[in-house]
Amino acid sequence: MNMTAWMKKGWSWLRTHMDPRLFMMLMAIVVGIFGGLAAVLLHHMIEMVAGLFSGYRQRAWSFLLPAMGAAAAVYFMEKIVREGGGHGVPEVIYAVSRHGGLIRLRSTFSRIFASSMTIGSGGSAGPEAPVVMSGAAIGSNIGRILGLNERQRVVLVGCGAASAIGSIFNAPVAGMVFTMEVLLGQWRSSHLLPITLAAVTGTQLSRRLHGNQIPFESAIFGIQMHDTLASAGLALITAVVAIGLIRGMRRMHGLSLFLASRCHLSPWTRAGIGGLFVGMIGIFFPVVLGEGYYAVREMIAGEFSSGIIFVLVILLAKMLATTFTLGWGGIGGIFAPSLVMGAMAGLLYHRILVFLFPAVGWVNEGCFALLGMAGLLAGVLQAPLTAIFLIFEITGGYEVVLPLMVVSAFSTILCRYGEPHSIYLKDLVARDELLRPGTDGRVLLDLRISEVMEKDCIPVQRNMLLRNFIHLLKNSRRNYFPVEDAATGRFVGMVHLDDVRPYLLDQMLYDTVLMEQLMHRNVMVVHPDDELGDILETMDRLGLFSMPVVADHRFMGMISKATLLDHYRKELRVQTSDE
Amino acid sequence: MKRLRLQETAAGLDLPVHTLERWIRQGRIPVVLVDNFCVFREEALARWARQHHMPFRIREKDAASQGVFCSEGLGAALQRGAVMHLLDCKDREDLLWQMVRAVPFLPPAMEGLLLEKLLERESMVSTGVGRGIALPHPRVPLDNFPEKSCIITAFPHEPVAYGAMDGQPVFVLFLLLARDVKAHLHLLSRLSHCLQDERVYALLMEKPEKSALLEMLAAKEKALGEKQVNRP
Repeated sequence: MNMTAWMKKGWSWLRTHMDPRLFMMLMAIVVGIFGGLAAVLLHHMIEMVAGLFSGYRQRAWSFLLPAMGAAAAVYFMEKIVREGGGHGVPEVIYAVSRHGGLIRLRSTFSRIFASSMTIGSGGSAGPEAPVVMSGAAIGSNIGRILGLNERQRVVLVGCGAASAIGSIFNAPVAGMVFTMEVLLGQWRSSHLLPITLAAVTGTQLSRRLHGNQIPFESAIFGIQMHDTLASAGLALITAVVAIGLIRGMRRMHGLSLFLASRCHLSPWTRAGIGGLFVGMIGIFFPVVLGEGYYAVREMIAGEFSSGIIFVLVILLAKMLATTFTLGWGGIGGIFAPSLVMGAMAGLLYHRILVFLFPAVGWVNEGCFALLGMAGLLAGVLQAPLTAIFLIFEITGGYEVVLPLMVVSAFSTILCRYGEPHSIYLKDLVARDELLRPGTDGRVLLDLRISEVMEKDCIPVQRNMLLRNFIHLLKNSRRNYFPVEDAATGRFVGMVHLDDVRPYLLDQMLYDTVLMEQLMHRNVMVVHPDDELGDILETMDRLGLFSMPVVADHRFMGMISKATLLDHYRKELRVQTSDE
Repeated sequence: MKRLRLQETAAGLDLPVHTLERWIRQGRIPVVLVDNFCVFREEALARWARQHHMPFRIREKDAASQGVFCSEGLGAALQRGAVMHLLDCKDREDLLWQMVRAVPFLPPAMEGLLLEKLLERESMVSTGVGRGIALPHPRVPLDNFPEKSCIITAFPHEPVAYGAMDGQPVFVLFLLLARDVKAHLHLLSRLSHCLQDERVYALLMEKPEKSALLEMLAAKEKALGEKQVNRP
């Protein structure tokens, strides 16, 4: 026996004999290593591209850099790897909810390259969503190559994403929570445990390679009760900014598509034009360029330039730059810009507070910058837990946790009034494609017609006599009888027992009535490839309880609500259980 | 570790094969598919089925025992029971008692119970269906008896007053003992179909021996069609 066959046998033994939970833990570690590596790679790529361009920053034409970066990134995505643009996160959620977490192999690296070009050249976007996509794609492809089932593959997708987030932020809990709250949308121990392990692995790996750095180290603030109370007011500002950002992105996207269709622009020229605007904003406010973490550090340290109006203008400029980058088709995430804008919103709120109540001893503005980050993140992602844990971890201070929770909770609620769905789910919900497990849509999507079809209906011929039909009735179990043409076998109509009942005991009619005379001709039929959701809608609309399935004019079986309920319950139980 | 065909596993879980296949692919069931064979740990799958309120029974050789009922026609049931020509009997109860004692493999302890059940059924509506024929049977089958349906035929020497619907005394009785209600109805329907035939009726009037009776009924049953015999 050669080596491959031997390994194949061993693998198959492992799959069937090893405890599946333990097996998933092992796989989680493997995926965690690769996810962590992807995040480290992206980190280095952005630094490298930024270093490449840094020599030209002082030139007069440097405002063209973001345009070049964005255009090159989209060109790379469109022409070289042939993938659609987008944040990455909605694509992962879609893959998880619709295709059992199946993601293309090229997604493991495509967005890393594209987003490093965008961000390194100065585009206002973040590296997180691309790295989530890469991590998820790594998990998905490891699962696919090893022949795992869909549920296991979804867990590995989550593992990849959690390890990537954990690695890039040095925040394992945030990675785990983000995955559960945003990507998978469900909390199950069978998911949680491997994902935890993957987040730990990814984070440990990045600490090993980068050192254990806390991205936004903060001093001790000394928060008092009035600060916690005031943070509720901050939530109002962050919610307004979050709604503004989400709507701004959508408007910008619509505008760019409109102009592109009018002027016949290719996607990469479109992204280039967006980048050009970003570059021009960057001439006046260089702080809006890139992921913007440097500015965040300044704000948290309380070293940011003073003035209420200045902060407001910078905030609007950053929002504009972000919408120009991402709304015009640039490749990158919304995570980092949200953090930057959140810090600015916090700063703005603090300066307003100090202006209105100068006598109160407020905590320093760095603390409010932190809270603003959490508030905006919670609003934009509709994920309060992710916001709380992320800020808490990337600042390394447990002290802010109380106002952090207040601002995240209020911001999420307030933002929901303006925008009921997060920026990631908006498009999916609009296309009616957000299908979380255990929901009606998901159950109906999974059930195929071939599974719920009743095949024990006895077909009758159109010229059959009533006498013969009654003889046949004795052996039938169903009330419906499809009528077929004897010569061609084509489906011509349906006979229901109710149609025959009045003549059942009338012996006179036995040899005079043909089935053709009893049948319904214009019967609503369904095709085996129809979606069950649509079929049920038709049944409800017409008040039907069952419909024949017909393909190529041949009768295949019946679909009935009663049988469907039976399968529906089984499916629901199986989908919602944690085994 | 158990290794079963996909179809057998699906049948054991009472699921369509497509559904089982999809659940395995989606990882919703603790079964691994290897070359169209389901590999699973039996107790794990049984626990899973319990948790999801699904039946789980592996029927590897059970198909044979399922076929028993299908092949069980009128002839087989008559063959198992006796055909009695009773010389003297006082009344209906005595007649039934003699028939009960002729039931094959009936434990003596159950004889009284069976007679009681038969009389209870007679007291509701008589099983004398008319034209001198009676079809005594218990209202519900006895527990664990019989394993295979049987029919005891009795021709009393003199017609016995039976309280039949048409008031005629009966000259022939068929005691029907079936495994379950379904089998009972099946036998009853077969028997009544045969009894409507005038040739069969004429034969019964002659109080035939077992072989003659069986021959006639077997021919009659065959005419009913093979297709129907194989349908439960």
